[in-house]
Amino acid sequence: MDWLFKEDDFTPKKDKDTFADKTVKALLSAASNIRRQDFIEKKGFLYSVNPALKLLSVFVLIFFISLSKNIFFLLSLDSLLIICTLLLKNSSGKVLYFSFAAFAFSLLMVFPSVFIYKSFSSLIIPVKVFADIVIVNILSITTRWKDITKSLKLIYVPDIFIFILDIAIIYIYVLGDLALNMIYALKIRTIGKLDKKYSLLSNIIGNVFIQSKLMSDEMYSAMELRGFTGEYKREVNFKLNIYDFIFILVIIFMISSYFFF
Amino acid sequence: MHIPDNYLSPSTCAVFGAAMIPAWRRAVKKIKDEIPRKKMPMLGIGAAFSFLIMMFNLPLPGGTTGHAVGAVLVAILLGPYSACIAVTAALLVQALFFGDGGILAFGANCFNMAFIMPFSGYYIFSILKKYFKNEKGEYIASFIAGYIGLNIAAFFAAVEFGIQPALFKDAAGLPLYCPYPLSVSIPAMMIPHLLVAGVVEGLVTSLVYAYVKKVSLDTVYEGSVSYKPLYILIATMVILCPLGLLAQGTAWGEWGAEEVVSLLGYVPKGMEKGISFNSLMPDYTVSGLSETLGYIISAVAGIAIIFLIFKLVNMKSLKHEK
Repeated sequence: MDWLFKEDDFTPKKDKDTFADKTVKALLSAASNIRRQDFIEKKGFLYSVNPALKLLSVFVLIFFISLSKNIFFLLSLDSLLIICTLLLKNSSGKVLYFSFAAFAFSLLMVFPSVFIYKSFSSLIIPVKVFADIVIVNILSITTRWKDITKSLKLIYVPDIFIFILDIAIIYIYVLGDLALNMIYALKIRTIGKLDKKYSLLSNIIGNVFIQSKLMSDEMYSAMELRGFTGEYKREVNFKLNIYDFIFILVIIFMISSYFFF
Repeated sequence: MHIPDNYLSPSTCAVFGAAMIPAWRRAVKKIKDEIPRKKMPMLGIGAAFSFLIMMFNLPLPGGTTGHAVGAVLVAILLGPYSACIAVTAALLVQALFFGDGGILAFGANCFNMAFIMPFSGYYIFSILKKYFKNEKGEYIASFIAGYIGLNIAAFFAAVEFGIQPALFKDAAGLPLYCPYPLSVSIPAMMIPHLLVAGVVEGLVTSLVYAYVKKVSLDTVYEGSVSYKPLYILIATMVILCPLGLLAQGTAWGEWGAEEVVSLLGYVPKGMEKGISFNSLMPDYTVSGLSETLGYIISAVAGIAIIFLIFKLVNMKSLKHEK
């Protein structure tokens, strides 16, 4: 029993595990973005607008932003979008954080070109990137994703592809959860330095793949049991209400300002 | 590698979107012929899988982390056509819901990561697999496929960035979209991909492939693929060749005597007279034709010669086997 009272001379080697933390963070943020869909209530202006209409206006706005060379148009659009974001319920901080991060990154990428051309003209790109990121984030926060995938029918995306997208979104959550649990298991069983990080992480990825194969078989059985015949039809609803008309007016105002400026 | 919006002109985006349509159509058709209805959900789950591969951060020297794209891995595991559709779906989810990669640039991103990367990687893998017969050789083949696949995709992205300032300028001659010419964009994209990202991609591809093969062999894709798309790929590269004319400077090692002087300060004695041999098409141009057309014709002729050599070698080895 003496050995029990002896003090162990063991200090585990220190190790950087930023890779695990970052992976956990990425997986959690993807999962929480998907989970959030279930809690979107149709209260508030942007939440009530027809999803198909929102998707179409996103395409149109991004197209005009890409064409624009006018910094005043872009800056006023940016400020309008910031106001829109601030009106969102509780997610506005996140949207602005991501958009400003994208802006800063883009600025960093474009800035050296100032010295090549001796002109600040390329600095318009970060302003455009900011607007695009805000627009996409507003769309993804205020709309259920299954409504967005359904609206893709309007631009002739085939049903089979919408089917694949719908499954993909659900299984990013399911498989992400699986991967997360494996990483947690790896983390809590690790003392000191973790060797062979690459093969361990690759094994986790491989395991996720094998599980996904098994799940797809199970899923097909479940689908067939419920009468799946290989046809997947989604109908897009294009009935407009009063919110939609106001929304159309706002979008027309934004686009006409492109020509006006 | 995800190209955001506003770095490429809308017309470039439209071209790449249009280029992807036949690829998608063929992939969907091929999948319908090849994959039983029972396996359909696998495409969606495969899309989720290829989305998740990009979430895994792997440690890099110096304490930072990087992630793999995984398109070659998905192509090896599910087949190139399924990979094309799965990666497209993953990219669409990223662009539409996570703001990662542009919406207008979606076609260009798909071209690089859902078409060029899985197909080139898969072909490299299947060709190398024939030469490396044992298990270890297969893993090396998958590493090389991942490494080269990613670098080809990165090269295409770099070219897409790099042609912008030459093609789209405002009245003052300033670039409207990505401001960096090919001479900047290619090294800026290729150096990190050749040195770091390619190695990460290759390692992940080969280690995951090895794991899946060891644990459950029957889940790995075992299909024969026609080499037709490979020819289409080569044809695209031939057409894209004139881009080389836009690039400044000469290729490394292809210096003329004057350039050697400017590099070394003198002409080595042996080179003074001797290095120029009279090739059929000096400087890759055919006399009497425009430079661009000449470039394409010489590329076609070059490929034809390479194919001829391969054919001859094959015939010889077949005779040998008999």
